[in-house]
Amino acid sequence: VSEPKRFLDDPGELSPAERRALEAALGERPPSGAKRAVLGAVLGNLPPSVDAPTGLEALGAATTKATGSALAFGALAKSAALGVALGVATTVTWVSLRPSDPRPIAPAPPAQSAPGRAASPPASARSAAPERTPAPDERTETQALRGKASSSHEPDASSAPPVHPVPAHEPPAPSTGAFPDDATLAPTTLESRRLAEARALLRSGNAVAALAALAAIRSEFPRGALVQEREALVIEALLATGKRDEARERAREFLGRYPTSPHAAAARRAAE
Amino acid sequence: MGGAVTFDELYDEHFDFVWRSLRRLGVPAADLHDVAQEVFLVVHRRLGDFEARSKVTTWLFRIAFHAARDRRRRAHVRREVLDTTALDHSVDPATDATALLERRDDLALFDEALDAMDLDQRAVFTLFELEGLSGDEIADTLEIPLGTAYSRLRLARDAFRRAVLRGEARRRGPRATAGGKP
Repeated sequence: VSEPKRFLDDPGELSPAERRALEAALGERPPSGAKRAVLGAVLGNLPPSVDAPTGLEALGAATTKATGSALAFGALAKSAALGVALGVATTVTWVSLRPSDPRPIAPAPPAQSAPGRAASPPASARSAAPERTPAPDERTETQALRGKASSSHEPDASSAPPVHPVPAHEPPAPSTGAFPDDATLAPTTLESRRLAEARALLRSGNAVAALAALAAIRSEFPRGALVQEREALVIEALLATGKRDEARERAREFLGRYPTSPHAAAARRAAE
Repeated sequence: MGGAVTFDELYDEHFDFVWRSLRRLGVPAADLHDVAQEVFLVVHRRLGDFEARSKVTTWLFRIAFHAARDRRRRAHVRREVLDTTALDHSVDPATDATALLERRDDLALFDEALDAMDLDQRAVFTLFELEGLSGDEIADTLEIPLGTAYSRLRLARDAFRRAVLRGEARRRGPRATAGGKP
């Protein structure tokens, strides 16, 4: 049997409506914030032995050490794989739980700049992976993720604004995840770790402690990349402690601010 | 992809692929977050077992496919309404409002067409038409014979065309149901 031609490669085959439907599907991408939110949820649901090698006691310790290198899984491996000396240094730091140098020596290595590509569909479906210039909002969140993924260093809260890195030698990422890199949001690693710990508290039935941890996260990361995840946990924790009115109020506030959040459905339930 | 791929790299590079695969496999918008999370938890757990024999996207799609099928079994009762929140989310905000509306409409049409397919057909159709996989690659991904892949593609294409025709007719006919004349 010979391979048929793809519809989109075969102009005569399609009605305008068929073509538009397929092209719309090709241009589809996850909602803004989804990538970040799912990562937050995944981090929060990993078994403690994997996700939180320092254990819950680290919650207090890490809070006092803003420069502690709390790593998400894989970040070490990534650093090492990139052959960044920084990664190796951080590994040692992390294992011994000493505070690391608060100043990042270098920003995280970037992948590549996503080529600015209009929504117009290409002839070949294969090359049609929705690479495109990220919207500003999304840029931020993917940078956050990239920071999490590739930078194992936590800049301290007062460190200077990040330097935009010169593109390094990492080969271009093949498909959709290629966004400009930046060390801006490396703290997301720490933030997500804290959230995972707060979630663990909540899941273990300690909602009051979870609320305290979440309040601490709020003051430490007032403009954190995972605000939605934090607020969703707060609402859940409030419900768990029986503070229904407060939960409802927070949920309404949440919905007003993030009506299309992946957590909106849960917030809506809480707001009822 | 060598064995050195880390979860972070994988997540960063393939999150969009997993997300849109789940969408196209019929996971409702309200469930996408949860199902994507399930997929990546499985990915994280099994990353050590992943062998570079297959492409990473093949592996990811298989996991996504199973997750979508499970979700479908659990929630098939709830699958009745066109979930417009998905559409609110899914169009590129960079486009202007008119284009956005048109795009949303086109996407709704695409969703309707997918709804006319069963899960296996959806998988074959979207992998072939949108992800650009070859018949062989699809057969490998779904672990089915090549002939089966092609026959599913044929059925899926028929379903797609019929559904687009129906959808178009309905859109042209004011308040008309399927089959309404322009």
